[in-house]
Amino acid sequence: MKPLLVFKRNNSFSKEVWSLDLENYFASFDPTSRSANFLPDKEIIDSTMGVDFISRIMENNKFDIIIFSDELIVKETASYFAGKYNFGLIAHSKEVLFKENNIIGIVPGWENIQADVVSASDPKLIILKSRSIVNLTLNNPCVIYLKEPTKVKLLSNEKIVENPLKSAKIIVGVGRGVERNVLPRVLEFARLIGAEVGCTRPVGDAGLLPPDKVIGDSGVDVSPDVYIALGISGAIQHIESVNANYTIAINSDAHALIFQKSNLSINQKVEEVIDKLLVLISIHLN
Amino acid sequence: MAQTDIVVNVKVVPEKISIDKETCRVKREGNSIFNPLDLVAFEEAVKLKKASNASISVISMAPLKEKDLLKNLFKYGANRVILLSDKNFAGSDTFATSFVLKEAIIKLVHNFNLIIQGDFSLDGSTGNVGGELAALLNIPFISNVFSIESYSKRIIVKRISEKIETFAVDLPALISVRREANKGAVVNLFSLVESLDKEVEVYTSEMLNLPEEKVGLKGSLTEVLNVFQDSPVFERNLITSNGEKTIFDFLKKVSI
Repeated sequence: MKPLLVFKRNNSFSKEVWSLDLENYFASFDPTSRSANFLPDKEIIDSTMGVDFISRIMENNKFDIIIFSDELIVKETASYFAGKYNFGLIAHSKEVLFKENNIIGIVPGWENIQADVVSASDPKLIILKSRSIVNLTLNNPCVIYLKEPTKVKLLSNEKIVENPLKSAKIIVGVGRGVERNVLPRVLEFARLIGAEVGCTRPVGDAGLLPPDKVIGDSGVDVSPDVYIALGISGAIQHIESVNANYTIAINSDAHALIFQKSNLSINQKVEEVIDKLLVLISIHLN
Repeated sequence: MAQTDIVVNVKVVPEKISIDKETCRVKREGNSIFNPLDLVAFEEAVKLKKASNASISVISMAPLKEKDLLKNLFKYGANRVILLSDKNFAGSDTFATSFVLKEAIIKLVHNFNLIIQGDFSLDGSTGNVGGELAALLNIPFISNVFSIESYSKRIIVKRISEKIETFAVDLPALISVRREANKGAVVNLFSLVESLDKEVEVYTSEMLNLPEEKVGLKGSLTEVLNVFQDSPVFERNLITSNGEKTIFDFLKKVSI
């Protein structure tokens, strides 16, 4: 099996991709990458340019599988590539299984439903979660010379201030189980322990916390040392984006999925625990 | 300038879904709702309509029973609402869906120059349809758009990736929007009066002259082998009292 792994910077993919003895080839959208067999001569700015890059690689190489990272420009290219050449694209996979020369994508859905999905086309395309950089130092990459896109022009490029959740050591996560009147006490608790505050998508949608606080599929991915999940049920869309060394969950529902993922599982009311914690912390600080 | 059409692709999603444990199939129960991000896209289209000479055509692929829900979009400013409904569409993956949408746009909306939709749907979250549809129509595609700056012969949009990127994109084009684009559509009183005599147009596969092998399960290029629910199977080490003390002792070690 010969996969082409396409990414911009994040080429970690899932352990299954690395653990099997596959003849992996790497293509990066970043012309300065040192971890790819194929590089563009200039930065790829839109999906037509990305498709041109992959198509040119495919002209002289045969791959059974093309695995795309879920970085924005890469996954945008994956769907455009699939549409242009009528290939079946398995999107949004959190992990993959290799079985009898086939690849199965495990795709999370709504309400903690997951699906095993296969592609009927050749090559098979899959978008796979990829969160970090693996330095490979591949020498003598093949450079593909690309034309500027004709219908899309990048006018400007402004740096954005990094979301503080990205580098936070401790994060207090707020879920639907935290009532509106309890939120100020949760924010005070977070301030006292030096934590950033994040939330689930429903909490962001309800306007309780701003959209940049949403952790999950439609928000940011976080990697804190400690994650304190308050009233969070543990929906896949949220919890898959939390890569914490230690997770503390407080939830009044004993069956909450979060308790399968937590190191410390407190089955009590969030309000009760937070109120008592505030007392303990203030005594300690004084 | 001749009147142009903005197409808004709107998906109808179930309010609640669950798994039928015997068949391993997804059960769609209760009320249907609009995919929230598609409503954000719709509101962007309404803003562009007000600032230009464009009209709005909403296209939705859904069961016939969703006709009444879709009719509500007239109140918010849609000029046409097209429902693509056929039992043969059942089981369509994103590619088969994109094919049907492409055919409908080409055959039913003659002057389209912009297609807007949400970045992804609540039920599937694949985000594939935008790119696949744009490729089938051979038009540019920009996703994750949070602001439309101008709209005339080309469109200027801002999107968030690692940086905030501003693109000028030749029309026709397809853009998909993220949540921050706006706060959702509001009822326009003028449209409310106008909407009373408007009807949802329903088109079947046959009316669009679509080959059977290109739609539904037959036209799909991916297959769902198995569906399962990740649910807790046991309760382990649950602390049911004095949890604050356990947390406090832990936090003393790491932070305070």
